[in-house]
Amino acid sequence: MGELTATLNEHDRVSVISIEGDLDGNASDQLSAVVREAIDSNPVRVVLDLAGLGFMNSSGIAAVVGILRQARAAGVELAATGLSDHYRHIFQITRLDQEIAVYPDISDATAR
Amino acid sequence: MQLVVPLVAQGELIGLLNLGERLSEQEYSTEDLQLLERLAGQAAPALRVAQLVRDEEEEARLRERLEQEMRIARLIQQNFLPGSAPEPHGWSLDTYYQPAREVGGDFYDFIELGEGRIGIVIGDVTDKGVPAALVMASTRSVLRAAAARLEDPGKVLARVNSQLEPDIPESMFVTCLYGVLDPKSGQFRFANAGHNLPCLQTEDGPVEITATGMPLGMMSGTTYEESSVEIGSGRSLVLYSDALPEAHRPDGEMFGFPRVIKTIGNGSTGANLIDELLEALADFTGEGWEEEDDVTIVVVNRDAMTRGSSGQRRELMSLTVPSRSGQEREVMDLVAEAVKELSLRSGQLEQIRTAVSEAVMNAIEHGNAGRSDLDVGIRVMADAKSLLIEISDHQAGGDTVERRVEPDLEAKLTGEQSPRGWGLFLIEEMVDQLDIDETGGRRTVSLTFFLEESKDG
Repeated sequence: MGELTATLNEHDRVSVISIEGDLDGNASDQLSAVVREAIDSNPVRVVLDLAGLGFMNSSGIAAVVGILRQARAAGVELAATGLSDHYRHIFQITRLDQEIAVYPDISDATAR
Repeated sequence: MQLVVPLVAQGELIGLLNLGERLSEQEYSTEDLQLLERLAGQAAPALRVAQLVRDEEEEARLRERLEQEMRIARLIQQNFLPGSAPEPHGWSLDTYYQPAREVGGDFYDFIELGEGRIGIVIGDVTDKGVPAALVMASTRSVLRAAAARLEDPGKVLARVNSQLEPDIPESMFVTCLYGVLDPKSGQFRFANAGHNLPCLQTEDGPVEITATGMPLGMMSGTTYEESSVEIGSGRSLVLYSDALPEAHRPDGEMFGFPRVIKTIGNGSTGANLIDELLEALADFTGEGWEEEDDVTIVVVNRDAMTRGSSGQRRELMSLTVPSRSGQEREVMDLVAEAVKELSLRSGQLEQIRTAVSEAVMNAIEHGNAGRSDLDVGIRVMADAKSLLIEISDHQAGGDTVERRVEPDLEAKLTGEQSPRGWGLFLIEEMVDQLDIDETGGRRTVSLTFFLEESKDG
């Protein structure tokens, strides 16, 4: 794994941001920019697809908190999918899973 | 009535032979009298024996009833005592319970609460036999229900008191200590309803810990003070019932609290400490002593950390890296490689990776203030049961320990807290034990992970 790439795709007013690589302090700005772009298209929901996530550290968690603030401010729902057991656990202990709906796979996450 | 013949056995009058008129209406003759006396002389001992047998049977019935009652009391009591103690990693909970012949009202209990925490109860009902056993059983149930719902030990006891108090007989009350052990941090937070003070082994010797509160069932609206202690590595906390210090020698002298405390201070821990207490008691009371009351001892023991002192931990890896951002990832991968051979639990490798990278990142950014001329030391050690990873820095970020704020997602979302500050929180959640030592100008963060128990142990 290595540097983050975040790709934006739209499915019927649901924006999917696919993460490849590591989510750490270096990735924060790029992620934030992609989320802004997604929000600008006025979706009902933004989905983070983390199936390609390599490693996420505490700075990566801070980045997720940051985009959650962006989504909240814009009144857009934030969801996540593709979490490994380890990161699902981390979403639980940080209580991120109470703010970000976690779906087992991408089709559930994009269903309306 | 014409004739009365006394029935005498061993000089004691046990009955009379009463005769009316003879059918022939003649007077009793001298032969008649002799015959009757002989008869009385033989009947009296036989009657005496019959009476004794009847008395004996009566007593046996009474004894049987009491025995039966004692069996029931013992049965109730033993049914409500835990069959086995929980076995949190890195800890042992050892118990001793010896009911007196006339069963008293001692009890203890372990309640598994969420997140690995364990509720620990020791109590004593001021009565014996079946009534005490019944009060003990209901106290236990009420306490279990309250412990499941309420977090604070003081509130739990207050709830139990308010529920028991109306139902408990006037003359009875219950002394009870309830505490919550967090095996991860070693904290034991408790409240005490008039029970003996718990005794903690510390660096400075055994210390009794106070938390005041009235016994349960005495007065409505009682509140309970809470105390909290940290049980150190290789040290025990001892909870015990009255019968231990109050055991009497035949000459009337009591075993006494000072002897109990002194024995706790001798240095034994866990089950050995219980043995030592019982030996000290036996030495004091002498042969043939019978417990006047139940004796209950519960010892909460934290295993000794073998850090730096044991040859059985082998070193898997040791290195230093400069304080440069990104080093935490390299260390994380190296450590992951080094621990591959260990019997890790499922998901544990990921936890180790996360904890190590966060700890190294902290050491680089905070401990060494990002100065690349300062190194971060990493040591990885393991024994059969645990993995220990030490990460040390130079404490260049000032000598004050950074007091962390518990990260709160809602506060971070509203901007009251920075979105950052998850590092130490993550480490704590990943490890089984976290120790931070600051001596000699270095800060060492020790991450302990318990390994899968080998099946043959």
